[in-house]
Amino acid sequence: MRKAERSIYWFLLPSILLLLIFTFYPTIYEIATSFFKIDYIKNITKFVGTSNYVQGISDPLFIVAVKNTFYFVILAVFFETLLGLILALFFNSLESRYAKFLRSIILIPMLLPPITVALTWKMMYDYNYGVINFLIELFGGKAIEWLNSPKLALLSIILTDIWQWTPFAFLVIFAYLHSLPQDIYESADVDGANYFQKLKYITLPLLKPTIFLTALLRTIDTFRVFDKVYVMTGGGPGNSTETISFYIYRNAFRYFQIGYSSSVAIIMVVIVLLFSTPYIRNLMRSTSQ
Amino acid sequence: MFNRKSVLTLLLLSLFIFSVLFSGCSTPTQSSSQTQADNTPQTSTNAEKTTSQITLHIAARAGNISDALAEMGKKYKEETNVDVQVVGMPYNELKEAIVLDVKNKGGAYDLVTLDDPWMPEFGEGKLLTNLDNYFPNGLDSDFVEKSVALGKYPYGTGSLYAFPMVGNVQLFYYRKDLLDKYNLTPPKTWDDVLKIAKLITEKEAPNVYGYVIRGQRGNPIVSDFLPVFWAYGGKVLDENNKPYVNSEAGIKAMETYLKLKKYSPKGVETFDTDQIANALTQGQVAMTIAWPAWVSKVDNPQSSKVVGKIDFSVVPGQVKDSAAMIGNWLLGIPSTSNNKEEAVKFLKWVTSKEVQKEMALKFGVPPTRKSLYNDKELVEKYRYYPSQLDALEHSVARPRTPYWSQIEDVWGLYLSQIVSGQIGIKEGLDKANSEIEKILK
Repeated sequence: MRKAERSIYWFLLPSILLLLIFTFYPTIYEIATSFFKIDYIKNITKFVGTSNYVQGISDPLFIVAVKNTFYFVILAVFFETLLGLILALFFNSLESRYAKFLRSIILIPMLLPPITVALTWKMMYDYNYGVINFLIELFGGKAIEWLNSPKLALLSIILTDIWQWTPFAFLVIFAYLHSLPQDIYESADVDGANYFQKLKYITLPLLKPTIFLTALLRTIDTFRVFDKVYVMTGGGPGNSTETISFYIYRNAFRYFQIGYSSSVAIIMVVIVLLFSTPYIRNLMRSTSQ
Repeated sequence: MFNRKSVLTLLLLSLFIFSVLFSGCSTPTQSSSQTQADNTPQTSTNAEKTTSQITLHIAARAGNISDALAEMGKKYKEETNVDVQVVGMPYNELKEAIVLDVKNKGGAYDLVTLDDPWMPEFGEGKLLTNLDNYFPNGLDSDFVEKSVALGKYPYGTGSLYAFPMVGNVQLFYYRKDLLDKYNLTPPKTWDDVLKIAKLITEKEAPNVYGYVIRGQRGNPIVSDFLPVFWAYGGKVLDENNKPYVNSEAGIKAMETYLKLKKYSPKGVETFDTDQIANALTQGQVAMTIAWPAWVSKVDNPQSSKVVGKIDFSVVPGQVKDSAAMIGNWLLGIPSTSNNKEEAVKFLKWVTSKEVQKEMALKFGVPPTRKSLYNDKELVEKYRYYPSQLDALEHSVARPRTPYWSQIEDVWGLYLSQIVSGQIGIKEGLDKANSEIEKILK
């Protein structure tokens, strides 16, 4: 028995090595870099202690990026989870073959390449030539400045994100929902419960861990949103759609301030960790019940 | 003491330390460039052609510049058997790709197009090959002096690092037919422009607007706003490298610029090159500042609805005489190229009189040679060439500082915020100025 146990470590060795080299090492390197002021083009490296972090937290542009990111995450995750839940409940009550076909179609948005999604929506949102404004005007409405207005641009990108990732929430919740044991419902029917009572007292409590898991996964993913911002608005108009990732990208690859952008990346990691901790704790608590 | 848990921990810890040491010792090098792989020796009977297959990779600004280079590249291959591959990229991506390639010693590019404001940064970072040894007598006198000066580091007096390839200088474009319709004379000052724009917008909107600004954050809006700023006497940096974008001149210029926005079509907050060229050639606007390279199509009946109706002049002045902004695209050789000799040959060939003429005729790429601006065939196609040469010879370059990218980006951010109404003029310009001060510290 002991021999078999020891060989487990040998099997784990390649993955551990890869993990250390490609995850652990770059992270440590980045933390180290964040304490230097580095200009990549001019080859200047200067130790500056924590001044990068101080600069980051006090930069009003970074604060705006944080605000935009939080706005994005909260709205996107809330609606993706909610719509995913509603869709899952809806499809759970359908049994026809048509329903199964429809289910596969619903999954398509999240299977598409993110850049394709971003580019296509950008064209649809175009003020003068986009199909959305075309349809609005066709029905007698007034064209909307989807990506040009500082107030609407972020919401437009959030809408695209919701369109793309609600299927994911749907998939996760539906899979769990479908596998729930039917006998609880049968006994509820015997007791004379209606749909909403069953929903409130049976379905939702059972689904709580899955809903939280979905929300957690989407939160961590949405926090890093970059491709849609990059393609659809480039952070504009002004910096109304600039997210933390875009801010880091700008400082790293437009100004080539490697040290500073590393420090902002670390700040972002800390924020994500703080933000996800209550989720994870909740998740742990729910699953252990 | 030596239970399984502590052995595992020890194992993991030593693995970690090992991998840190391992990767910390080597310098990151990317795989050797494709050009190496393409060097297959062949015997050749033709004495003029090169004996092995060499490929030159060019990183170029996507659009008519990359198209022109690709087309000329095919011709070069026919003449010399050297293959030319052009990679076209948008503005920001281009700079990023070049910097990363050179800094990581990738050697992916043998020639790169660069916007002239990048020259100080590239020069300080030693990203380009010094061309003095290849051209000991400098460039021939046919080249426009102000364009040649841009390719030298330090500006004007230093070594040659790049050839000027695209002779862009801002011009002011206006619809002569509309001005004639309302008995207006071409504007000389920005006050004139506002008067004309107001009139035309009132009478012709929404079919035609008086003006169109290029409001997208960053390089677009700064390039569009600078001439107005300069016309009001504004100065970005003084001799001591102190910024003054929030001066009285700056405020007045921005007030005018916001009025110009009022007379522009909707959506200008995100307008860039394509939208401006479109607005002009589709007859939607009466006046704008533009780079001739993009609007070469105004007289092309296949893409323009306003053939023959557009006229051009120098950019209007205000308190100061107009100062045309020069903005040449230069062609240089990265210091990490593996085919420098061949690249130099291509460089010489592509900036020769014949090739520049062909690029101008077929793609609207303005040349950097004086003789071509008075060439009969070219002037017949591009009426504005003589004016353009005049503008080039009296042009002003943007401030030569290695921090220009950051300054432009920050200034461009606040300018676009002011234009989209997110922040007031004084507050926006003050913030921009303090951010620029921080950059230059």
